[in-house]
Amino acid sequence: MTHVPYPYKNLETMRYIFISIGKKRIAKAVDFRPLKTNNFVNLSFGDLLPNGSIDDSISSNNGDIVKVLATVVDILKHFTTQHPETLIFFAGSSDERTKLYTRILKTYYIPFGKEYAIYGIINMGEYYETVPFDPKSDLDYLAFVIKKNN
Amino acid sequence: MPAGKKNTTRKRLKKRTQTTIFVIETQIAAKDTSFPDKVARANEILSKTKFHDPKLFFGD
Repeated sequence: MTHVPYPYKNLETMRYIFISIGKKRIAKAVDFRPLKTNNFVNLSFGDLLPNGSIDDSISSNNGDIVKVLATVVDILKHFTTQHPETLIFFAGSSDERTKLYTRILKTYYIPFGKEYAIYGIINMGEYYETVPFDPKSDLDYLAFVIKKNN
Repeated sequence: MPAGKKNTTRKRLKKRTQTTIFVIETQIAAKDTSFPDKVARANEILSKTKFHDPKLFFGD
Protein backbone atom coordinates (compact mmCIF):
# COMPACT_ATOMS: atom_id res chain seq x y z
CA MET A 1 0.00 0.00 0.00
CA THR A 2 1.85 3.07 -1.21
CA HIS A 3 -0.60 5.81 -0.20
CA VAL A 4 0.74 8.15 2.49
CA PRO A 5 -1.05 7.36 5.77
CA TYR A 6 -2.38 9.90 8.25
CA PRO A 7 -0.29 10.49 11.35
CA TYR A 8 -1.70 8.63 14.33
CA LYS A 9 -1.39 8.60 18.10
CA ASN A 10 -1.01 5.52 20.25
CA LEU A 11 -2.91 6.82 23.29
CA GLU A 12 -3.11 3.52 25.13
CA THR A 13 -1.26 0.31 24.40
CA MET A 14 -4.28 -1.13 22.67
CA ARG A 15 -5.83 1.96 21.07
CA TYR A 16 -4.74 4.24 18.23
CA ILE A 17 -6.50 7.34 16.92
CA PHE A 18 -6.12 9.53 13.85
CA ILE A 19 -8.09 12.21 12.03
CA SER A 20 -9.58 11.53 8.62
CA ILE A 21 -9.52 14.77 6.64
CA GLY A 22 -11.90 14.68 3.69
CA LYS A 23 -15.20 16.44 3.27
CA LYS A 24 -15.22 16.57 7.07
CA ARG A 25 -12.74 16.02 9.88
CA ILE A 26 -13.60 12.67 11.48
CA ALA A 27 -11.79 11.11 14.44
CA LYS A 28 -11.07 7.42 13.75
CA ALA A 29 -9.96 4.74 16.15
CA VAL A 30 -8.30 1.35 15.84
CA ASP A 31 -8.66 -0.80 18.92
CA PHE A 32 -7.11 -4.15 19.87
CA ARG A 33 -8.75 -6.21 22.62
CA PRO A 34 -7.43 -9.53 24.00
CA LEU A 35 -9.52 -12.63 23.33
CA LYS A 36 -9.85 -15.87 25.28
CA THR A 37 -7.70 -17.82 22.85
CA ASN A 38 -4.02 -17.38 23.65
CA ASN A 39 -2.20 -14.61 21.77
CA PHE A 40 -5.34 -13.48 19.95
CA VAL A 41 -6.67 -9.93 19.88
CA ASN A 42 -9.79 -8.57 18.24
CA LEU A 43 -9.33 -5.59 15.93
CA SER A 44 -12.07 -2.97 15.88
CA PHE A 45 -11.99 0.02 13.58
CA GLY A 46 -14.41 2.87 13.03
CA ASP A 47 -15.42 6.39 13.96
CA LEU A 48 -14.46 7.49 17.45
CA LEU A 49 -17.54 8.69 19.34
CA PRO A 50 -17.50 11.36 22.07
CA ASN A 51 -18.12 8.72 24.76
CA GLY A 52 -14.97 6.84 23.77
CA SER A 53 -16.67 3.98 21.96
CA ILE A 54 -16.21 3.12 18.27
CA ASP A 55 -18.97 3.02 15.68
CA ASP A 56 -17.78 0.36 13.24
CA SER A 57 -21.02 0.25 11.24
CA ILE A 58 -20.97 3.80 9.94
CA SER A 59 -20.09 4.63 6.32
CA SER A 60 -18.36 7.99 6.51
CA ASN A 61 -17.97 8.52 2.73
CA ASN A 62 -15.34 11.11 3.54
CA GLY A 63 -13.60 10.73 0.19
CA ASP A 64 -10.30 9.44 1.64
CA ILE A 65 -10.87 5.69 1.99
CA VAL A 66 -7.50 4.75 0.47
CA LYS A 67 -5.62 7.00 2.87
CA VAL A 68 -7.69 5.74 5.81
CA LEU A 69 -6.92 2.11 4.90
CA ALA A 70 -3.23 2.94 4.50
CA THR A 71 -3.33 4.36 8.03
CA VAL A 72 -5.03 1.27 9.44
CA VAL A 73 -2.36 -0.90 7.80
CA ASP A 74 0.37 1.36 9.20
CA ILE A 75 -1.14 1.00 12.68
CA LEU A 76 -1.38 -2.76 12.20
CA LYS A 77 2.31 -2.84 11.31
CA HIS A 78 3.18 -0.82 14.40
CA PHE A 79 1.10 -3.02 16.68
CA THR A 80 2.41 -6.31 15.26
CA THR A 81 5.98 -5.04 15.49
CA GLN A 82 5.38 -4.31 19.17
CA HIS A 83 3.60 -7.67 19.61
CA PRO A 84 5.05 -9.99 16.94
CA GLU A 85 3.53 -13.20 18.34
CA THR A 86 0.01 -11.80 18.41
CA LEU A 87 -2.65 -13.03 16.01
CA ILE A 88 -5.13 -10.39 14.91
CA PHE A 89 -8.76 -11.43 14.50
CA PHE A 90 -11.21 -9.22 12.64
CA ALA A 91 -14.68 -9.53 11.20
CA GLY A 92 -17.07 -7.01 9.73
CA SER A 93 -19.98 -5.68 11.75
CA SER A 94 -22.25 -7.11 9.03
CA ASP A 95 -21.98 -9.56 6.10
CA GLU A 96 -21.63 -6.61 3.72
CA ARG A 97 -18.82 -5.14 5.81
CA THR A 98 -17.01 -8.51 5.90
CA LYS A 99 -17.33 -8.70 2.10
CA LEU A 100 -15.81 -5.23 1.90
CA TYR A 101 -12.86 -6.46 4.00
CA THR A 102 -12.53 -9.43 1.63
CA ARG A 103 -12.31 -7.06 -1.36
CA ILE A 104 -9.73 -4.92 0.44
CA LEU A 105 -7.60 -7.99 1.28
CA LYS A 106 -7.82 -9.15 -2.33
CA THR A 107 -6.74 -5.72 -3.59
CA TYR A 108 -3.76 -5.45 -1.27
CA TYR A 109 -2.91 -9.14 -1.04
CA ILE A 110 0.39 -8.89 -2.96
CA PRO A 111 2.17 -6.30 -0.78
CA PHE A 112 0.40 -7.34 2.43
CA GLY A 113 0.81 -11.10 1.93
CA LYS A 114 4.60 -10.77 1.89
CA GLU A 115 4.65 -9.50 5.44
CA TYR A 116 1.66 -11.34 6.92
CA ALA A 117 0.13 -14.78 6.94
CA ILE A 118 -3.57 -14.28 6.23
CA TYR A 119 -6.25 -16.83 7.10
CA GLY A 120 -9.94 -16.83 6.37
CA ILE A 121 -12.58 -18.50 8.53
CA ILE A 122 -15.44 -20.20 6.69
CA ASN A 123 -18.74 -21.35 8.16
CA MET A 124 -19.12 -25.09 7.45
CA GLY A 125 -22.28 -25.54 9.53
CA GLU A 126 -21.32 -27.38 12.70
CA TYR A 127 -17.78 -26.09 12.70
CA TYR A 128 -15.69 -23.35 11.18
CA GLU A 129 -12.88 -24.18 8.78
CA THR A 130 -9.71 -22.11 8.76
CA VAL A 131 -7.98 -21.79 5.41
CA PRO A 132 -5.17 -19.67 4.00
CA PHE A 133 -6.72 -16.61 2.40
CA ASP A 134 -6.93 -17.02 -1.37
CA PRO A 135 -7.31 -13.76 -3.31
CA LYS A 136 -8.62 -15.68 -6.34
CA SER A 137 -11.31 -17.52 -4.42
CA ASP A 138 -14.98 -16.52 -4.24
CA LEU A 139 -15.45 -18.03 -0.78
CA ASP A 140 -17.67 -16.21 1.70
CA TYR A 141 -15.44 -15.61 4.67
CA LEU A 142 -16.85 -15.17 8.14
CA ALA A 143 -13.77 -13.55 9.64
CA PHE A 144 -10.04 -13.20 9.15
CA VAL A 145 -6.91 -13.85 11.15
CA ILE A 146 -3.54 -12.36 10.34
CA LYS A 147 -0.10 -12.88 11.81
CA LYS A 148 3.18 -11.15 11.06
CA ASN A 149 5.63 -13.46 9.30
CA ASN A 150 8.76 -14.24 11.30
CA MET B 1 -25.84 41.82 53.04
CA PRO B 2 -23.75 40.72 56.04
CA ALA B 3 -20.34 39.27 55.13
CA GLY B 4 -21.11 36.02 56.93
CA LYS B 5 -24.20 35.34 54.80
CA LYS B 6 -22.26 35.97 51.53
CA ASN B 7 -19.69 33.39 52.54
CA THR B 8 -22.39 30.86 53.33
CA THR B 9 -24.01 31.35 49.91
CA ARG B 10 -20.65 31.03 48.15
CA LYS B 11 -19.89 27.82 50.04
CA ARG B 12 -23.31 26.42 49.15
CA LEU B 13 -22.82 27.23 45.43
CA LYS B 14 -19.33 25.74 45.44
CA LYS B 15 -20.63 22.54 46.99
CA ARG B 16 -23.44 22.30 44.40
CA THR B 17 -20.97 22.78 41.50
CA GLN B 18 -18.70 20.06 42.81
CA THR B 19 -21.61 17.65 43.10
CA THR B 20 -22.60 18.27 39.45
CA ILE B 21 -19.08 17.53 38.19
CA PHE B 22 -19.02 14.29 40.15
CA VAL B 23 -22.23 13.07 38.46
CA ILE B 24 -20.89 13.77 34.93
CA GLU B 25 -17.64 11.91 35.63
CA THR B 26 -19.57 8.92 36.92
CA GLN B 27 -21.62 8.75 33.72
CA ILE B 28 -18.51 8.75 31.51
CA ALA B 29 -16.78 6.09 33.57
CA ALA B 30 -19.85 3.89 33.41
CA LYS B 31 -19.72 3.67 29.59
CA ASP B 32 -18.08 0.42 28.52
CA THR B 33 -15.77 1.00 25.56
CA SER B 34 -14.25 -2.47 25.44
CA PHE B 35 -16.74 -3.77 22.84
CA PRO B 36 -18.12 -6.75 24.80
CA ASP B 37 -20.40 -7.77 21.90
CA LYS B 38 -17.60 -7.81 19.34
CA VAL B 39 -15.23 -9.60 21.70
CA ALA B 40 -17.90 -12.18 22.59
CA ARG B 41 -18.60 -12.84 18.90
CA ALA B 42 -14.88 -13.18 18.16
CA ASN B 43 -14.48 -15.62 21.06
CA GLU B 44 -17.45 -17.64 19.83
CA ILE B 45 -16.13 -17.86 16.26
CA LEU B 46 -12.64 -18.80 17.42
CA SER B 47 -14.01 -21.50 19.74
CA LYS B 48 -15.33 -23.32 16.67
CA THR B 49 -12.01 -23.21 14.81
CA LYS B 50 -8.73 -25.04 15.18
CA PHE B 51 -7.28 -21.78 16.44
CA HIS B 52 -9.04 -22.62 19.68
CA ASP B 53 -6.25 -25.13 20.20
CA PRO B 54 -3.18 -23.60 18.53
CA LYS B 55 -1.37 -26.98 18.62
CA LEU B 56 -3.93 -28.31 16.15
CA PHE B 57 -3.26 -25.45 13.80
CA PHE B 58 0.40 -24.66 14.16
CA GLY B 59 1.64 -28.00 15.47
CA ASP B 60 3.92 -28.36 18.49
